[in-house]
Amino acid sequence: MDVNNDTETDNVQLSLEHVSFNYLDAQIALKDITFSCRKGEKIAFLGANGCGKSTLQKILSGLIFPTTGRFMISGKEVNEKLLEDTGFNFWFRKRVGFIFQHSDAQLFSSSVREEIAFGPMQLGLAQDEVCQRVEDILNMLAITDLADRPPYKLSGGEKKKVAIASVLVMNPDILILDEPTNGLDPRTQRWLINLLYQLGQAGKTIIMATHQLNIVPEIADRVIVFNEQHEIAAEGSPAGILTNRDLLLQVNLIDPDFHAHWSHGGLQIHYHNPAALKR
Amino acid sequence: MNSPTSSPKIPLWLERPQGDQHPPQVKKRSNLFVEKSLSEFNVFMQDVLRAEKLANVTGFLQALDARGKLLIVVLSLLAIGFVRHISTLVVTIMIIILLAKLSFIPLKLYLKKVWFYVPLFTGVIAFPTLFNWVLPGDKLLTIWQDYTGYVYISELYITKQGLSVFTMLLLRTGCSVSIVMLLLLSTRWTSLLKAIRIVGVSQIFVMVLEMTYRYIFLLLQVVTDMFQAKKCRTVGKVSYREQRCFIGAAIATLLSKSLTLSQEVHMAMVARGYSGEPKALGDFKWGSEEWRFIGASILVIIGISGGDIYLGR
Repeated sequence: MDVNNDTETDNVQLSLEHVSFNYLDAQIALKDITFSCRKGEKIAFLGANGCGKSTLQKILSGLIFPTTGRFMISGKEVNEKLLEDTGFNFWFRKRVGFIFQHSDAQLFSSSVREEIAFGPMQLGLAQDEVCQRVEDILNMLAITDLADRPPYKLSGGEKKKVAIASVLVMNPDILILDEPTNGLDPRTQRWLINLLYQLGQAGKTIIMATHQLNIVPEIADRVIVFNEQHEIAAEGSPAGILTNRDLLLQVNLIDPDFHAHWSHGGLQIHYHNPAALKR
Repeated sequence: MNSPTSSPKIPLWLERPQGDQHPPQVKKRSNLFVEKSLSEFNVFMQDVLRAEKLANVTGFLQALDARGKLLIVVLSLLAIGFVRHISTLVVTIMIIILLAKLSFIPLKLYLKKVWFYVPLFTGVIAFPTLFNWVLPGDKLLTIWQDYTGYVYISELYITKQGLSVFTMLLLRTGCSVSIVMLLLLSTRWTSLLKAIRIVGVSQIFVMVLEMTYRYIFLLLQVVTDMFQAKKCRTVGKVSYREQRCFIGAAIATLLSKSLTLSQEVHMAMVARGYSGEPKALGDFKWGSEEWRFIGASILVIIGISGGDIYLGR
């Protein structure tokens, strides 16, 4: 038993201990959050709008820092002072990749190629290696034809692909995604889910915030649910959480028409709308 | 359980149809501020897209490195500053037009862009030099003459020297603007920004310029959306006071959005390893064509300047 616990502790990649975060020292965004994430784990954050998922992801990406509590990566506490150290900053940024909800904020360069090259260039990789990586990622995501286009000319789906490419090119061990399927058409959503599945298979740790319950069983091993009081309301397997109707109602994530059941070899999630059924 | 407790109850007025009856004809609105603004945004976007399209054509100048072109433009502008003969400037303009033609730049658009604005601004400024009141000289054309003897200066006429100075100024400005315009139309804006680093502009300054250019489009899209949303909900005449209020609110919203965006952009940069000193991909290509172009251009500049000196004062 002790041995198992030790192994589990060794595998912990990220952990939060009693983390709280307040905006402008007043507005509470997170309250007493404690959880840990193991290497290669795939976690989905679920919660209503404004419950603190994005804030938590920014803490995990080292972009903002807890008001109280500790955030650790591979056993080392991450704080503002430590990230000012160039060596640690590079080490951290190479390992943690954050894909923003709004791709427009993430795509600041003047062409797709430069956008993808930005991260590796900042990390001091040689120009030849950067160019090779950029080509590989463009090919992998099938966006070679976009390489010389400016980001403002891209569609929503293309922007998302470029945003993902710009992070993947740094080969992070931990991939944090803020509502990545938002605003994507069904085909691009499917493409993204398949990509996340492949990255998961390749051993990447994936932490994703989403509202789309139907994709959770496909992309997550574990689900953490936040309530509107900015606390963790529950934690468990996708099947356990998504079939817990009372919990999802309590955190305001679903309405009474929501329905989840096992059928056709998987968890079926849909809505029964009697008004629509009458037509 | 089947009945959704959260379903909103639709009020009766919301179920009432508007009807198909056409409205009575009223006079055309003269207060079309929103429409005009939208049209201006559209024109700006079209201009930018057209310039971008031209810069991507596989023409003579487009195929060359931006740094080489910038260098030649600077040298040419210096040389034009020393030219003293109208004929030299006319030859230079002919060469510029030939380069535009070789670069597949539509001449009509190009000439309009240069020769519509140059006379409009430089011409207005230089106009008084035509007359003997400003620049005395040999009489060419009398405009007005006083026979009464009451006016201090009794004659107004265009002088030969004045006409020469006026034409020279107009052609010199037109020639300089033509060269710069040729560079702008044949080079991608982003490559041009990078090229200005050869004159010692720092990387961070270039990066800020690039980002400004990139986000102008996003903010322009936000403004267009705001104006279109207003247009959709505007029925009847809107007073100037209401319009001013809308503009004020739009400016405030845009400022707030751009602040939020700038914070998020900074975070996105930090998340990818940015630590205050940006490093950019050097994607310039410098080959034998660039050397040939620079060599040939310097020869042409020397030839034109030499010809001008040969013509004498």
